Amino acid sequence: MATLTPEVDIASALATALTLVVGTDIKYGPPRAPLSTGNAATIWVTPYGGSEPDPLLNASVSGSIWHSKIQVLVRSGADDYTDGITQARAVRDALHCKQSSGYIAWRALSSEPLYLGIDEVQEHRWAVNILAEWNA
Amino acid sequence: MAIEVGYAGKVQVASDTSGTAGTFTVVGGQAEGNITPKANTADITQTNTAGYEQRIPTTLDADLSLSFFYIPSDAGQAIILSSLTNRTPMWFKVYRDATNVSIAYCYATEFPTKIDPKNPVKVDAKLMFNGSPTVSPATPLTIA
Repeated sequence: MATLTPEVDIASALATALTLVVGTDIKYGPPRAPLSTGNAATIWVTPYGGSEPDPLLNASVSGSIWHSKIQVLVRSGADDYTDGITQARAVRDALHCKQSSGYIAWRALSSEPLYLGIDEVQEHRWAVNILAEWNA
Repeated sequence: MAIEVGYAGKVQVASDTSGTAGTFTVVGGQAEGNITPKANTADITQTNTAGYEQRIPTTLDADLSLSFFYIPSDAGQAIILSSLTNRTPMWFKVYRDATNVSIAYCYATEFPTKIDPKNPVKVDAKLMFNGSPTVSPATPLTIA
């Protein structure tokens, strides 16, 4: 019954809003190996659960209300905290309360990006967690 | 006979002219439906009895309600709203599963639309029973 892939739609919305390219600047799944130093900020998008779906009556036809959680991880260029946090906030602003076709709502789950620390090549990382609600 | 799951149920509605055998429309976005056939009672307690209440069933009645997520284009939701705004009767049919139903003749009396920025727009509609409930698979309970 479920038909939407929120991480794909969110990546597409970010590419449009921030003038980025899916597959180059935005990638699916959890972050893999750290980038080599000197790269600009990179974004990773992955689903990570959400509360249980609420079935409607006549659920085989009317479907359920789905509460998908999507994590957008923003990684800065090497030792570039300012650029990274700016990009993380831009991600939040591009997605929070955006009216997207097929969705009931997209909402940020925290007011500020969640700082995750710095990796071995001095790239800062933030998580922007998004709730995507939809009916199918 | 097995226990039945709620999400297999549904509510259909029809305008007055449809009758119980008419064309019923599923209400979209249904979250919760309720039909409660019941008997009203009269207090016949007498002061000279042995100190307890006594009642007798009188008229048959039903409580009706339906909660749904608002879909502006939905035909079933429109029938409920039309019953309220035009003050015309309608039919309310609750399927507990694919075949077992309860039906009531009624008026829609409340169509509250609650706006909450963190949740889908939801309507908790109230309907007022106006006769002729039937319940299956038990022997139909009918008011002429």
